[in-house]
Amino acid sequence: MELKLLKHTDNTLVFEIRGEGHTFCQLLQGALLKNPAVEMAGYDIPHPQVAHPVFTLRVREGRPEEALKAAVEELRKQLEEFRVKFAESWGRSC
Amino acid sequence: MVDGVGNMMIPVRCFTCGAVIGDKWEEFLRRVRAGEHPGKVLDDLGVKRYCCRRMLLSHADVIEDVIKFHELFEKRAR
Amino acid sequence: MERDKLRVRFVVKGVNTEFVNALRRAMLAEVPTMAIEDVVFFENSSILHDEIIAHRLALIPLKTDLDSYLLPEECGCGSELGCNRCRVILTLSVEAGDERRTVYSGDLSPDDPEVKPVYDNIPIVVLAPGQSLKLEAYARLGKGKDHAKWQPVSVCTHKYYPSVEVYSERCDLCGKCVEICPKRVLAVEEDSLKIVNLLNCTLCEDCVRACPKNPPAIRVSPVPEAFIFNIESTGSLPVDRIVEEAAKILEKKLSEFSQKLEELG
Repeated sequence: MELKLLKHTDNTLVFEIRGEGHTFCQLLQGALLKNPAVEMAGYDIPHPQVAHPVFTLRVREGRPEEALKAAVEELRKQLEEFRVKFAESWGRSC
Repeated sequence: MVDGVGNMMIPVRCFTCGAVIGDKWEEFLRRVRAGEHPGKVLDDLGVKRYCCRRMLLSHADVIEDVIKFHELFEKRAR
Repeated sequence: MERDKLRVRFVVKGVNTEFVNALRRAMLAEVPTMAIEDVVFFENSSILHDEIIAHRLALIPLKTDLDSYLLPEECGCGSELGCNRCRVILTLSVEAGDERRTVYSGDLSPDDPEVKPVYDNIPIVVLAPGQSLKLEAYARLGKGKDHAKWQPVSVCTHKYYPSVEVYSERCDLCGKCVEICPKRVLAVEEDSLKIVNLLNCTLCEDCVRACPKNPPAIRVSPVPEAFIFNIESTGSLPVDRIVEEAAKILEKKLSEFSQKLEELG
């Protein structure tokens, strides 16, 4: 994964996530859109055979970096919770 | 695999879903030849989806037939 | 949660579609497994060509030990055929005597007994009398996004958790919905319409359309933020391990992302 910054203003962040695809971008988009401060979050894969999605994020208030950080943090928590709960129910139904 | 002479041998995996079916072929063939109902045998072997079921049902193993020619040529060469 | 050796079906609640879909995609394309990648033929007098045999070998699932092997791109050895941290050598040497002989996946002998074919009875080729097959196969870890032979799952799906509501005051138990349901979700039992197989419902709404009442006496809808996962392993990895690895891979991606974000400033 390589990041390339394309545009950075007070409320907008456009960057390229080189080497990733829908798996990661969709996950990130889903988490960002849950945040009411996010006005727009989306990505575009300009060419289907080149894994260079362009992610666009615009916020109503605050900084876009903060929104990203919060989304990543939430996803991490969610994944860990999923992993723990899955292992639990797997163990119990053994 | 498919190689111009039809399906020489049972494919290792289902073309559609990728589940392993090669391991079930010999038992399937043996039991069907013994007179069991093919559908029942497939159920028994745990082949649930119709993509995998058709792999076994519609397969004709021609390698044994092709080998006959090989054996014939060998004999002639000698 | 329902499961047997290779399959699992479980319900996840409180997550969004993006989350489950990312998990599904990670399981399909990102969880590494072992498969044969390179084959060196010493002798092949069988009637199948080298490349066809190599292809058949590649599709055989191998028991994968994720803890003691590395992906070749993460292994520092730099060797084309790998070192003993990133590849396993399987040798096969079969000679047909006076009779025809079928070569099975079980004839492959690996240098690491942990990484053996999951099934021993997959036919690879039939040898005529006098023919022989001698080869050395190099198996390595790989990901499903590079080739389907590295996919740890044959089935990995998620669907909405269904909710089926019956309005008993409008229902006259005509049984039309029971008959039309392709998944046999409904049944008429003791003067009432019962839901006997809720998890099999695909939300196709055939029952709603079949209901002669207007408005229909039955309603199906997805439960928000609840999903049913259905996973079937090819046998190379246990199902729980696949789920766990997928979650870990996504976590790793997230850490990498936040780290790269920091670097950007």
